[in-house]
Amino acid sequence: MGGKMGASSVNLWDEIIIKPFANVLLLTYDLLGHNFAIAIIVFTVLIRLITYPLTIQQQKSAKAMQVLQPQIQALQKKYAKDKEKLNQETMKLYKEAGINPLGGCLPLLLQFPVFIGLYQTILLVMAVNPLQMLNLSKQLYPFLPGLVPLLPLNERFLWLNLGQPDLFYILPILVVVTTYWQQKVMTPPSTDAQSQAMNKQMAIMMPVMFGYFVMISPSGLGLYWLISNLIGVAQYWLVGRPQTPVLASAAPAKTLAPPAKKKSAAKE
Amino acid sequence: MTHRTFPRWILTALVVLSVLTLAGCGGQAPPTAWPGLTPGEDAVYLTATTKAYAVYVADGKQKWPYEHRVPQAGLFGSSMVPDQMHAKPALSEGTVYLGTDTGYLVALDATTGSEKWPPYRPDLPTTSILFLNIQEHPTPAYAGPAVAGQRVIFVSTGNKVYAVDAATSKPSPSWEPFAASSRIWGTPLVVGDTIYITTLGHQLIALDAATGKPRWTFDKPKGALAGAPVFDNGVIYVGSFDKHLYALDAATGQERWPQPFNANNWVWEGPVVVSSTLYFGDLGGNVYALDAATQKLVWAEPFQAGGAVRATPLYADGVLYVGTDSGALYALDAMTGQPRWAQPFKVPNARFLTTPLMQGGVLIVAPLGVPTLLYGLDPTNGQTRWQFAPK
Repeated sequence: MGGKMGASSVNLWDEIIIKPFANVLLLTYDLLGHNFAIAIIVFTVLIRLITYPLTIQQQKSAKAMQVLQPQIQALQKKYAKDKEKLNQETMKLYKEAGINPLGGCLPLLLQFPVFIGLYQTILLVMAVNPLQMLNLSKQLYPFLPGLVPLLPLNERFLWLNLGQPDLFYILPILVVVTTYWQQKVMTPPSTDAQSQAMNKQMAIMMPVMFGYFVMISPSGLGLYWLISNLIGVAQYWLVGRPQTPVLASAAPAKTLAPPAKKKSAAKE
Repeated sequence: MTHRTFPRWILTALVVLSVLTLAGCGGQAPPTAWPGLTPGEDAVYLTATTKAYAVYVADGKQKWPYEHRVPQAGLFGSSMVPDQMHAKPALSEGTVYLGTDTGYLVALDATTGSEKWPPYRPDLPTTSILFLNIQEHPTPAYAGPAVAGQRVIFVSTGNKVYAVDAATSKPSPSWEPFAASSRIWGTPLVVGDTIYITTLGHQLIALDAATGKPRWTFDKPKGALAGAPVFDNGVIYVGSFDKHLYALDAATGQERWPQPFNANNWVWEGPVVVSSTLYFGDLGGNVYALDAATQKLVWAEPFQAGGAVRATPLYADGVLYVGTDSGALYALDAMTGQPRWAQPFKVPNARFLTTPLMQGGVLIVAPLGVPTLLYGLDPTNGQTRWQFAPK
């Protein structure tokens, strides 16, 4: 009697990301007078602050890579027919400049699960349907029994029902504008014609697609998207916008001579 | 490391694909609740996301399917898409009543599956900013309809209880639609001249079946009430997310027990009552057998099912059938709580969140998450007799 029938498998993603996020988001909601919109805003800012060192590292790395572009292009021309040599020389250039070529990707890769988790958590905590509520029941820490009476969350904020798409399309419009703005600020200017054309296309495509996504999604997610865009813009302004390679490379180009020449200079 | 540029079309396609995936446009929208299952004479009636079905009990063959299509706005204009259906169907005098995700009430001939009257939906509420006044989006009906005499009681727009004439779908003139303060997911319970509804706003409300006016409200729970209430012998039983099972006087709403019963986890649905023993489960996977009078456990300890028990168990011939969120169905001896089958019935990737049925000697279960919508089982050993998996 009362036999135990198997243990439920532990989902690492839920344990590491979703559970802590869901519980902290609900605690934030409780502390902020049961206003879920404000809780989303505060929680998004909090997560962005925690991941701020990674953002800075990524942006600095991106800027440094921009500065090296003229030298890299010169190497590409010089060793167009010898890929192996090109790789060696490029790596040497990075090493001498003190740049980790993965320095831009790694922080981004580390942040990505956090932002995906945040998105999933907001959707989960709103629990607008029975399956979401059932899933939410598995994510709440038993040592925080005070969270259960908070459910279901207060969905109303200004004209919005956070569990439903925005009837007046104000949020999608704001998301389109801020996504475009963020794209403009974040995308480094390019000298390459193909990259320029691609940037131009993405600058239109991304805002429209995300605007459409927000148009058909619960407003709570739209709000998260809007706040994320605004914080993204603010962070890039704080660190500094990447410069055009031509202008920015003028000074470093003199100090960072091509590796082969530098070697000979050292011998002298 | 060489500097490479992505072909433009790959990057563009990736962005489009990821946004469409996030938006859930990669195909049919996933279900938002479990199937609804109701017994009939020779068939059972099932709501399974985009379609409702009548399925013969004897062999699992389809009697009829039903689909309700509604317009949906998209990026490139409006298109007709299947309306989703999750609410438990109601059957009365040869008519099957269904609630849909866009708030419609549907009445179908139980024999043919044809509509008795055009699907009815009350006016959607409006929201306004300054001079703009816009109709709100419909809220899915997770609470099934219920029949009270010549009227159908149903929940639409999330938190409003309506009554319409069962023969014509005309709103009942004596009934004032009742707006609860929070969403209603549990099917209303009709007992005599009273209708009992539960709300996610921690309330159980008794309404006058003739007028829709509230008689009493029980708001002691500290958690949502998501399941349907259960009536037995003058008592209403209801479970709550605050881990309690409450027993109330059906006439007055006064508590019958000195303290509600403490479960180990959320109690989503009410119990099945058999000779003053209450059988129910919690989301921690515990199955309880409780003496209604003394609140004492009948079994030595609760049965641990290894997965959340959301639905009310089914009792038939001394056996309790319990489904879990982890895809197992148990047959337990109602007296002792001991498993009756050598192994529970298991379906990989399935979730058993709907109360099973016993019809014509067949145990019928409706899983969620697998292509097979119904299994007909031998109740003595859990072996499959038939499967219903429409293409």
